[in-house]
Amino acid sequence: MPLWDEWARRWNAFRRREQLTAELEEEIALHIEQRGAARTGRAAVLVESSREAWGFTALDHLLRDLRFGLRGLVRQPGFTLLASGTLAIAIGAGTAIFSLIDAVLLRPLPFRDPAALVYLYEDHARTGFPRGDFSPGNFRAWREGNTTLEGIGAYYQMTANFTGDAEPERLDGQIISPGLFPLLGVQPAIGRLFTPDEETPGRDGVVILSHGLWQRRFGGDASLIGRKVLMSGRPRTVVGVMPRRWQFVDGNTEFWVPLALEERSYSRFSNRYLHAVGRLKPGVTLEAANQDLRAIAQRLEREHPRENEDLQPVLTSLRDQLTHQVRPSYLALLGGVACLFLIACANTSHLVLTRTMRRGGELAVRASLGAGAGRLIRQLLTENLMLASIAGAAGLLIAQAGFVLLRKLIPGGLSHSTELALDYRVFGFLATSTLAAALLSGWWPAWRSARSGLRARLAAHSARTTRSASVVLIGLETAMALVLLTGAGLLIQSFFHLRSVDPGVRPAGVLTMLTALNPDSITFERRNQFYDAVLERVQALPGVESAAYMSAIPLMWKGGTSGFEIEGRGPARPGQEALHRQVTPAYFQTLGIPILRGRGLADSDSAGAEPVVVVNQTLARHFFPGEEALGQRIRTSEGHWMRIAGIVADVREMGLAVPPKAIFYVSPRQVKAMFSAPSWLAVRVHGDPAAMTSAVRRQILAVAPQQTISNIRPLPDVIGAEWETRELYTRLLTAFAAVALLLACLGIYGVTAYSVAQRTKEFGIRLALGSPPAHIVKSVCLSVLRPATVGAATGAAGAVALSRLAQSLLFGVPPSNHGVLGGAALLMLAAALAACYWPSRQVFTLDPIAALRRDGD
Amino acid sequence: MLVLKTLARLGPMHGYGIAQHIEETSGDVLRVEEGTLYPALQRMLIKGWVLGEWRQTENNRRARYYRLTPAGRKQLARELSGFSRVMAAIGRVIESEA
Repeated sequence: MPLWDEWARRWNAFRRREQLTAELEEEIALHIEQRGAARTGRAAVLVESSREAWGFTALDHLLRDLRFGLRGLVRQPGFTLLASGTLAIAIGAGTAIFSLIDAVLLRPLPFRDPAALVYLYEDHARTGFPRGDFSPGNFRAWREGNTTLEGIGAYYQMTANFTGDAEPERLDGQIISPGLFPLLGVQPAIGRLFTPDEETPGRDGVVILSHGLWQRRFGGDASLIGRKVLMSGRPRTVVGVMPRRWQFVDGNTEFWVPLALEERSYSRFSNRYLHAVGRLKPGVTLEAANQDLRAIAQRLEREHPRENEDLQPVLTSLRDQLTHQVRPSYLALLGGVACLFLIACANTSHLVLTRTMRRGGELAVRASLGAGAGRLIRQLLTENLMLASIAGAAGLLIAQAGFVLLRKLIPGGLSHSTELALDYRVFGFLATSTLAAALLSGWWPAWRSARSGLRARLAAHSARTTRSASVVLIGLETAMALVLLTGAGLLIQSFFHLRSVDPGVRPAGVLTMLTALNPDSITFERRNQFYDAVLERVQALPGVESAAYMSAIPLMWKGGTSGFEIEGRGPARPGQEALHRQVTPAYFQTLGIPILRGRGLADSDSAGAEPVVVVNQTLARHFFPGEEALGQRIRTSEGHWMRIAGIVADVREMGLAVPPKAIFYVSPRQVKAMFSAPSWLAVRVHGDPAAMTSAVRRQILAVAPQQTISNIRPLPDVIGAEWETRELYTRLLTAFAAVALLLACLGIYGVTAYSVAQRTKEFGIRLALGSPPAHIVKSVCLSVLRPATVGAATGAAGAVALSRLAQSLLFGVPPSNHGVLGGAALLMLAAALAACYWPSRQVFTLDPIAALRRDGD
Repeated sequence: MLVLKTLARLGPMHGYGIAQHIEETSGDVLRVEEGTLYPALQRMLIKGWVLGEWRQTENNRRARYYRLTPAGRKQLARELSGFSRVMAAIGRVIESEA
């Protein structure tokens, strides 16, 4: 193979290039000597061009550039540290955010052919549930009527008390259509999945365990398959165990039981509690499937006009369902790091430019020795690449540190199946952004200085081009920083708005816990005895002010509505519904909810007495406008008439950012139905609520030794959880904005300092001619502030446009908030002024004579 | 081609000698610039058409002598035949012109 031999010789030549070069030099020297025509410099060029024939010049140059660049970077540690540090922050933050977006928005979901999986919801935005659940009746219609889905299965979350085999334990699980597992394409680790047959009531006494539960509670014993476990008093046969870490939609599911609905349930259309996931038939688009469902919806509306008025079924991709809440926040973070990245590149670009301009002499010498512009640019870019690589390596560490924080931002439905890690995709992103940083921050200075180097470097020329570049850089940095500052400002304001929202309860000093009902205490009489016994004992504890049982702690159950009828007004109209809560009499006192009119619930409101109900202000105002609500009677579809005995202040049950919803409260002694039977205990204490935990626990266990007690949290923590994620987003974006401001100031400082240093001689002349130093300082500052102002104006326009897009992230703040925008702009310009005044100050102390003597830089 | 031919005719020579020979035999019509010669020699070394070895010159200096390899000989033949084809073609064009 001649070609092969040729490359081998090339490689050989490259390896021995030092020796070969020496030989060439000797040979050519001899030649020139014999010829007798000696011209200096000629020999070097000859050697150089002859070496090109070896074909490894590029690599050879690269190695030399690398060595040369490294020496330069080591010689100027300040520059290296500042430039690479700046880039490292941008690259690190960018990589961390990318890994989050990759993990949540880009990577395929861990199911078979996940792109075809769809989530079904009914849009009940009117009543506060934009992605609402649906009734078994509707579900059957969706499942049997559609022609576009390969299959669809329903599910909902449940909890069960595991007893008997070990410590009593309350666990979260899913009730799920047997057909859903095959749709998802999952195989159990051991045992089997559900059979279609197990959808029939009576044959559904089976359970599939999560791998985690099987290991933890049952010691990973394979012989568990076929054995029975006791779940909330009902024995179920374990038929299978899911693969390790396998979860569906919710990250904390410990078991699955089949959804087996009675025929009676399917004929009901008012109880909405099912979610569903289906799979599109091959080739069917989401739009076609949606149309299919809308046709069924029309039929359902006709057949059940009362329950299905304005029925709007929506199919969306499963990924959208799992991520739609976080997507805007992620995009905001992405926009934030993009701004940061550009600012960092602009800053580094200027740093590099100043540095190369200072090295102008060296470059000019190289240019005059015959180094072409391309060669010089290549060398400068190589140096920049080294700088960026250092930054990339440091950015890797920054990103990894950021993972700890960002992990908390993965939505719950994905937290089990995805991890933030430095895999090849994230690494590829890191490498790309490092390269981009090197080129973005390097091409301009490289090109500029190579050109001015070739033009024998007229000092005035290079100074002017540097200045025009600085104008662009300052404008860019100011604009980007202002966008970030405005965004952060809006988020901070939203956050404080949210924190200042009155939840409607006085959380301080309240301890809450869940005592999921035991099978023993499940009947009407038994559970009331349980409440009475526990409350009596707990209230007797020293330091306890009051205690109450309730359906749910506010904010813990964002649902549970019932339609209701008002006496004398005919059947319930659509949307005439309210949150339905059972609470013991001390509820209002314990949570600190003021009773506005009438009375609260009382011990005397017992089974035999007249049924009463306490409603909140929103219910009274909304359903009895301009009327006296007290004394009126309402009833739910199942219940009897209840007289409104009192009106209490609103509580934000649905979330702090959600306006209060109508609620009615009834006593568990007057409601026979299990639905919403109290299982949460709240205790108001003097002093630290957490300190009371064990005392309260002991009293509960004294009443019911097998009772599970879980979710023990002080009420302030429950409410704090509402803004926890928002706080994290706000902190992140504020940090980005702060770094951006700092970098922009550093950039402006650097530009000004450099321009002052370059124009020292000119300033000296002007001072000598009698110009007051303040004028000079003013002109320097203006030359910086003018582009900064233009940049700020551009940034402001951008910020307004962007924040309108990000409206869903804001709370109680209009997107074009003049206060925030003006404040951000003022802060930015003040910082810019300080950053340019500081270095230009030295004009005041400049000695004109000394300045004139100085050699022009 | 001229370098190869020179080496083929006179055996191993150093760079200066090659240049001298070409200039002399061409009656000073063809001048060989070192800027062309040395890159060309390096290229031929890489291609494997010539080999270089260090020897003493007549006046006792060290110089690199280039020697034709079999591959170089083949290359020379190829280039010569190509060249004579082109020459013949040019000749025919010129004659038809006259």
